[in-house]
Amino acid sequence: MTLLAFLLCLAGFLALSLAMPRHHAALVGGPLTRQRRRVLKTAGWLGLALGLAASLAAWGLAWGAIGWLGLLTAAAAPVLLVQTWWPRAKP
Amino acid sequence: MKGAGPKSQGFRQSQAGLHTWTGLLVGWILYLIFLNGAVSYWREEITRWSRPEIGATRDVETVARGAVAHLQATAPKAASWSISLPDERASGATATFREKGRPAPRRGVDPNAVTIGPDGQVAQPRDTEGGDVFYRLHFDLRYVPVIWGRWVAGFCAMFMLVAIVSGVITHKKIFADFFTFRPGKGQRSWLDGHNALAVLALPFHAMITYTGLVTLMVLYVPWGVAANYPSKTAYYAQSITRAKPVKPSGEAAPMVDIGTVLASAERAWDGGHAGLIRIDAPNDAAARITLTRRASDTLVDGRWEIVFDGVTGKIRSQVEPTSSGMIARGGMIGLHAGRFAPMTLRWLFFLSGLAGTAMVATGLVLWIAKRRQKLADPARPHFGFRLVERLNVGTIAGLPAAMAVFLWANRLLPTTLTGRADWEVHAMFIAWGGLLLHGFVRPPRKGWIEQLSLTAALLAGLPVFNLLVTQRGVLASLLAGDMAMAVMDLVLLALGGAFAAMALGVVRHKPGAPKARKAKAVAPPPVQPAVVREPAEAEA
Repeated sequence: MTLLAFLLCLAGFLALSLAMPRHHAALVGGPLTRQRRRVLKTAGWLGLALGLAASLAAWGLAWGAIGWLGLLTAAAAPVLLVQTWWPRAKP
Repeated sequence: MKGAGPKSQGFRQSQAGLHTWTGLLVGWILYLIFLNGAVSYWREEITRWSRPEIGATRDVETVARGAVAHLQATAPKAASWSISLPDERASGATATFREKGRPAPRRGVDPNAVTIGPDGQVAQPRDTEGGDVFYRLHFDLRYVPVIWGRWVAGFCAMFMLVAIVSGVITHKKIFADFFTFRPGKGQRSWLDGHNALAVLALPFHAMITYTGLVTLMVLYVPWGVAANYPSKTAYYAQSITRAKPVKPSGEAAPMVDIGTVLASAERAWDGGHAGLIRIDAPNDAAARITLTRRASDTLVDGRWEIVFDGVTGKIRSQVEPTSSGMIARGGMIGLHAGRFAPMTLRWLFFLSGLAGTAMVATGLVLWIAKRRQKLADPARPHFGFRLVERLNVGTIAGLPAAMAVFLWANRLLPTTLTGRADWEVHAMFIAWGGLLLHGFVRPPRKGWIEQLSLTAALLAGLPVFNLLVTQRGVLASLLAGDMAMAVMDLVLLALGGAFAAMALGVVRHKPGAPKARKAKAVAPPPVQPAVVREPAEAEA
């Protein structure tokens, strides 16, 4: 359940980062249409919210909320690294 | 930014200045506090690692029985016994007895205390403070009176709180830059890194700084207590209920089995465990057993106690934290120390703590990176610049090296040395002193490379030494299923690798870069909105 919570947060942040023009251009390329942006944003926030639900299920009410904040940090870091290094690795 | 009138610019600028100077002034101590705090999430594991003679705890009841048997054999007529029990993470119990009218020594080794191993027998571990060293250093510092240390730590924490708030205000593109890191761009990269480390773990940083102040709030803000109680002792007497002392009847009586009492407490606490056993008037008809709950049991740090009749084993009285104020405070302390934290959460706390440490470090380096290009004569920087630059080397690279020296001293000092535990700590501080000095004598670039390499070698060398020279290398630990020992060795190796990568980064760094920046500074571009924005943001 903890792993699931982490993966949900990870996916959520990835979607949120792709909803930003700069990161979208760097990672995916192609046009970031208004609709695609909205979909990515919704999916992103949904991922984070589901991550919270999974954390609460894993750790209970008090620790779940704390754990979720920790997972947010742990999930945002790899997204930041991907956004930094992936575009450079591409030829 | 068009809307940025002189007033709003002024506010952000003032916050930027506040952030820079509050951060710098206490930066090195904050680095020490953050690093040792992060490491202290593994206090029990480090203690275990420091005492390889004692294996992992399998069954607490065996340990408790062994401790009682030892005390029964050595001090059956003592005024009281006390036994601190290990939890899943710790190992070894301490069994102590007190004779009437002879209180425990205030300092140093208690001659009445012995360590009981996981098999219930008396163990002879090497004399060490283990993980407690980093834990105490985190808020007491060292070699200064404890109260001074706590005042310094509180002062720094208060500055940290100011730095967090002013930092958030200064960093205006907090969401736009959320996932941004642009490496290889000098000052820009340091700023990106500093921001990322701060923003990504912001909930942790704010929580840990605030709750840190709460842990010692009675010390820092004594007026609430002073206004309502005649003295601090009176305050504690009323806020912490304590059982009355036991008067022995003089009549001998057999004691209840300790396992029965432990099981009874477990039922009363819904599966909670005892961390401390205190037995007053043992082997007397008036004997009384007080169990205190483990700190790792509940999020709320507070006094949970059950008092048993020492002969019948019946519950006499029970204490739990009840007032909402005490629960709120206890909850914050519990949150700060993370004693309750399950393993995954503990790792998240540790990693966030390391992020905080790196945030402080990048902030300190950023101060230098930002000012280097503005130096009138880069070959002869002014005194303040040199001081900060040199202190950075000896602290950011030197302190972790010194902490590794503590662990080396733990492995290398002979077990027969008197004051061995103290010498482990002295070794750490002698090493740190040496490295601070080294930072001042060597040119900064060489200083960085040498100290980062040394830190890497010291950290990565420990698991190698354990593997080759001791019986408790990583392979033996893995085979024995002793995860704490194995994982600590692996983490030391990983940290060594991280410092090696940093050293390599400095080696590869081309010092030619400032030239390009200089050229830019010579011909200042016309004032454009985009350029006006730079300084305020670069201040972060």
